[in-house]
Amino acid sequence: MGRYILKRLWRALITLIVISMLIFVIARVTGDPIAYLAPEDASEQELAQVRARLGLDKPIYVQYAFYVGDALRGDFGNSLRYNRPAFEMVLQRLPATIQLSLIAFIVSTILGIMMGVLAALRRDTWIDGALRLLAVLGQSAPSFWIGILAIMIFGVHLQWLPTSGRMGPEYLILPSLTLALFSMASVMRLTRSAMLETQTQEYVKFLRAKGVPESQIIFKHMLRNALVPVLAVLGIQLSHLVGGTVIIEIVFNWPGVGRLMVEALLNSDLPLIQAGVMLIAISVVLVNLLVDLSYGLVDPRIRIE
Amino acid sequence: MNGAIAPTRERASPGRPSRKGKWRSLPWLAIIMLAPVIIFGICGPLLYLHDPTTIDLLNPQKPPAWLEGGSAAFPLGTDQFGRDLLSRLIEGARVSLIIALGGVMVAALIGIVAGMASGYFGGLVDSLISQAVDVKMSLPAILLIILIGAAIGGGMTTVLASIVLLFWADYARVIRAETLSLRERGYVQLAKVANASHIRILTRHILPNLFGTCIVLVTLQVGRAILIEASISFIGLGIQPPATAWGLMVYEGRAYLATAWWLPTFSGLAITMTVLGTNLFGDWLRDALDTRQSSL
Amino acid sequence: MTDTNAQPVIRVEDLYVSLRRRRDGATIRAVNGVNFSVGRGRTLGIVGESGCGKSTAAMALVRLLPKSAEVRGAIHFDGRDLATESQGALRRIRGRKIAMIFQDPMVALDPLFTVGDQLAEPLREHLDLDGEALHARQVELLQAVGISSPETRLKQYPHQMSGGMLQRIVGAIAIACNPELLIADEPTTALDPTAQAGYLELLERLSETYGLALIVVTHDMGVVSRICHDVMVMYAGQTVEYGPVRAIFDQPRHPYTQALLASIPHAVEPGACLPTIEGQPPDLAALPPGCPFAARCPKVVDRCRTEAPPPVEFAGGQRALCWRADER
Repeated sequence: MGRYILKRLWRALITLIVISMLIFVIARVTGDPIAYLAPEDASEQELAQVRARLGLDKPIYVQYAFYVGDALRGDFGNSLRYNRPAFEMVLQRLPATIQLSLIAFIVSTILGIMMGVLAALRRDTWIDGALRLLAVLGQSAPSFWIGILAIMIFGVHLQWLPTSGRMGPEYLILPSLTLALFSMASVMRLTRSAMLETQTQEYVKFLRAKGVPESQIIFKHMLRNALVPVLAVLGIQLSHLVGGTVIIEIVFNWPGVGRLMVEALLNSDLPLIQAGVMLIAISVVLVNLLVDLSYGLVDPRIRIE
Repeated sequence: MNGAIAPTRERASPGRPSRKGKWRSLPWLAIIMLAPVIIFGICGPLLYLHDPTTIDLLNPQKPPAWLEGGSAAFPLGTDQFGRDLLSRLIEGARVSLIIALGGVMVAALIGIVAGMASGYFGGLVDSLISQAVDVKMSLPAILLIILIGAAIGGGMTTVLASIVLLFWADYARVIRAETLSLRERGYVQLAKVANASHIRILTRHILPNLFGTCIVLVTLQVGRAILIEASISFIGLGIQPPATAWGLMVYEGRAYLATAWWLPTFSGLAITMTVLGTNLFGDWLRDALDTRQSSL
Repeated sequence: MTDTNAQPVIRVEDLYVSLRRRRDGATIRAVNGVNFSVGRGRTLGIVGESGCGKSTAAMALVRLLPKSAEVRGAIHFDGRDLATESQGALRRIRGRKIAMIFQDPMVALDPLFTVGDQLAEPLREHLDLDGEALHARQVELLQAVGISSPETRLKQYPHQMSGGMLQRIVGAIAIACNPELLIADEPTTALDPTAQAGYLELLERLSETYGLALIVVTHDMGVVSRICHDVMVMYAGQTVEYGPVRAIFDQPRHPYTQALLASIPHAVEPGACLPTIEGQPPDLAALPPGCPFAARCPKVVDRCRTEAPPPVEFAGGQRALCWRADER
């Protein structure tokens, strides 16, 4: 287990380093930061002073070190448009994004597993066919289109649910379900095939020969084994979800980090983009790490080497 | 205890239809879904009823022909500027297909080379490439898209760059695994013994065996690429007006969903049908070619 | 018929099993009229090449078959007819009175649960054991199959154990509820020769110690000669030859049995080619009229192709299903 944890920690660290480098490089290619910071009529000498003060006259790796140091202290500079600390602005929006993706994550995982098990147990019946069709549809339809259809049907036409903003819990229903759809389809397909795979395992035959009740075979043994590969991709599913949040936030006018970033993008508000990308990357990496570690709890082959 | 019965050879595994039978059962549903898209994509301009960019302010927001107020001149209705929706969808098909195919091809090229190098040579090359694949896998696609957008702004290049950057790793991962197992095959070992050059072994002995896997992966990726293109266009980083693509059309139609529901509905339907078609076709191809990679 | 005990543990009469083939929905006649019985402490080998219906016949005894399977005939066991019992009743017999073990002990256990947990399942299910009594029985069982430090072993997972250890654990699970009959389906196929020998020894010992009736399904004549008292040779779902192992090895009456015995390596001159049986077994969905072995039989006569041969009985309880079984 120790080695396993170390490996995962290493990967998380590498991922964060790579993304921070990407952000740093992009911040440098998109223009001389001096252009934003110094008055336009500044002389060469004044510019050099500003450069020296900001450390921009140092070699690039020293600049990167400074940059990382600032980032670690949560200093990404001020938003160019709002002139407020970018990090703070992103942090303010983070709870809304976390709320949305977490609910979608839970919904898609639980429903996806349940539907996958059902489809596998009812293999080749109409239930299986309908669920599989739903899954392949869920993986083919763009989420923003599903969201727009949902708004048209449940918001405009039936007027059952609110479709814009974040006021009460009912505001969560449409966005989180729309967001969950793609992941749910993936989890379902994977669970189904994993369940069918376990059905052919020797130990299942042996359990039947032992006279263990079928319900116990399915829910204690087969399901738990089928969950091992499912759990392995939950981290990736979460990445999909966070990515999907950006789009869903736009469709449903949800005040989260995603919408903030897309707005920042259209305004070329670089500090805001940097802070947003970094914070989202950190959250995703952390949750991925958690998922990887919980994997060890389910599978003793990883826990006990 | 070697008295095993040797007499008969094991029969072809039961329950698996013969290869011939599989080819006979073509995925008609997928073909029906994809055929119009491919036809429109290839001979789009010949099929326009109207020029897709011509503004016709006399006929704004006309509903589809079968609804009250619709006219046969605009089968799927018009948008807020009176542009014919069907013609715009056909134009969008061309743009979406070109971008998706182009992006996936470039990604495949990079990914296949990286994957083969990684699997064949191992060592430092392998750990660097694998590390890169790992990092890509654990980052949400949208972050890469946003970073690219921040660096070069919106447009066709952004979409292509995003697709390449997002998809090469899938090829690298799968091809690496296949190469690893191919490397141990007898004929590759023989070629090594015969002092064949690395390039020769890779191109003559390994690459041809990756063909099935690549074809399946490309098919499945084209569907995903169309989705990515649509998403990028939807957040405003993709194709810029007056040019058009399906994702952009959904985005533009969103503002009119209370008054002109057909605008976002049909453009989204076009995306869904195309992606569904490629997904079904790819699934079928995977089974038909008997690709062992279940991770595709 | 060859049983020395008056009352056999299990007696099977005219067993027929048909299955539906998934590919084309055709009906497979997997087992066609099989008769046998096994007494206490006796071992019956069911032998034949893959697809001959031997495993299906064995699994039919406890009706562990695909849903599409149809079973006809009588399976007398413990005063009832298992062919007519409900699945619920059969479940209470499986693992309790009839135990089964399969090919590879390395994959017979769920990798995610401890050995103790999996040993406890039949004990809880069938004997209602719990707490102290359960634990005591677990320890007792592991000791019975020769596992040292059972307390630690119970808490371990399958991947922490060696193949030999897992064999014994599987044996312990099989005998957990003191069954009367143990069915071993291809118990040695997946094992290397050393492990095979160990496994067979274990089975033999369990059968002797607990007076189990043992049915061993195998394609390996070596296994049969090693531990079986009686043997049933199956071909295309039929019993082509049945009788005491000694008698059949001395004087096989059916051409198929003769061919099987001839293909055992040590029966051949060093350096000579192993004789093989030409051709393929018939499609069980479309059995030919007459003898199913006719197409491959070296002694075939015209009659074999049109008329099904009757069973011919010999002294000592040997019988064969062949028109020319009497000939020497």
